[in-house]
Amino acid sequence: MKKPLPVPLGHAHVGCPVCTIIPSHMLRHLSQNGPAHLREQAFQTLQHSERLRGQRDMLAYLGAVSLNTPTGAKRRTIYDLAHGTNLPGTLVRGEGAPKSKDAQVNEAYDYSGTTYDFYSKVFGRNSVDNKGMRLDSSVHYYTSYDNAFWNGAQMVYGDGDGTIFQRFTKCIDVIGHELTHGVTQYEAGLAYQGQSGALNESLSDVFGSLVKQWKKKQTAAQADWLIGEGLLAKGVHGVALRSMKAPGTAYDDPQIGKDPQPDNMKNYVKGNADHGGVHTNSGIPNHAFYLVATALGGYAWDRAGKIWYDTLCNILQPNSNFVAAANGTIRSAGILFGVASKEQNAVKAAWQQVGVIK
Amino acid sequence: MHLKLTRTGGFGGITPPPVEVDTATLSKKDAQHIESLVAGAKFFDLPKSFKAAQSQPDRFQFSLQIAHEDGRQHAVTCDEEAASEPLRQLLQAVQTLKRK
Repeated sequence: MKKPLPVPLGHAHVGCPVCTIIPSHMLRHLSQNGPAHLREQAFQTLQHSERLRGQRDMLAYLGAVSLNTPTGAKRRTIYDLAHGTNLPGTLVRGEGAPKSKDAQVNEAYDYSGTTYDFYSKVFGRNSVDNKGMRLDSSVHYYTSYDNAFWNGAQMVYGDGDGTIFQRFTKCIDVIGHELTHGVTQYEAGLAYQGQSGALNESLSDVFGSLVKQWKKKQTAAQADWLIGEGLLAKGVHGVALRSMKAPGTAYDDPQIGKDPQPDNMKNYVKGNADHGGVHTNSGIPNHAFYLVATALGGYAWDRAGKIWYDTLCNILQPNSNFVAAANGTIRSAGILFGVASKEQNAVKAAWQQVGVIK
Repeated sequence: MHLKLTRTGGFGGITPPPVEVDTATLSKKDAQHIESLVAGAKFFDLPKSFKAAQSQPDRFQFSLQIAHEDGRQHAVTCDEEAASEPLRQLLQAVQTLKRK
């Protein structure tokens, strides 16, 4: 089995019956019991065809049961889309494989590894699904694509257009942000619109930022609290895409406008664009997290991060709004550190300061 | 044919200024390319707005307005991941024209 089965046009709605010559049960057996050099290929082939059939449950089952990845073991796969959009693309680097000549491949590999390690070492989490799910990234999506996204199963990165944006794999917090969308999907499942969507976005910024801080061993005071610092091309008047420390100040340039993020509920942005402003109103919970982290000091992942992670995994629901997040994090802080503890008080004060609770 | 494209959403949540194109100002090759993409996307038959059944985080949303010289006018707003392949190609072509 030299090549994976052909992947049809990369959009799920294209109606194309998937007929594979090698039956799934045989591929499944091979992926578990076959000779070592065939197991990974069998798994990939199965993954392609099962994904096309929409059987994500089967993939999760396989990942959890038969591949039985112990906690702390990463499995990364990097693909090259070569400026097309048919996901996932051509496999170019697997786990443990040597560096590529392509910087984007190496960045996707390294930073998804750091993100895995962060979640594993800080929270004891085994990958996105907490069951050792393989971390798939595809680079060079489309041409001059000013974006990165999580498609529900993998990360996808564009090259940027070069004038406004650089390549999206450049920033570790972008990769942490995308992978965290996966974590949220498996935990609270926050609906991607309105306040629940802004919370979803904020969690990705929070943990994306924490991955960066953890890698650099920065305290809350040392961190820049910027999202996508270095992503904007030279000549664009801006330092980052977002600031958790000072929402609304990250950029101001005629080509992209001014950073629209509010730092308080009184400036909450209404309207339908961007699923009800999920990337804009995320400034409010982002700032709340920043306030907690800096009030408590030390490493932000130790206490503020733990409170937020606990809330994500145990309290938040798909339709949770900002008030629910405030009450949830206050409750988590009480459970983790004690009622009326310094930590719980800091969380309450932060949500009051951004105007979510009185 | 006059086209106006607005892009919102995305990882950056940035809304660049809309791209406006008048095919009369393009080279014959570019104008014909746009026209064939508009036809290929069956643009004037598309619903006014459509979303993905399951939103993918950080994807774009597009709003495309077209006024054809034959009098037809239409505006479509959609999630990037819900756009058909021909529509994606049209959206990409309009954005690429702006960069030329």
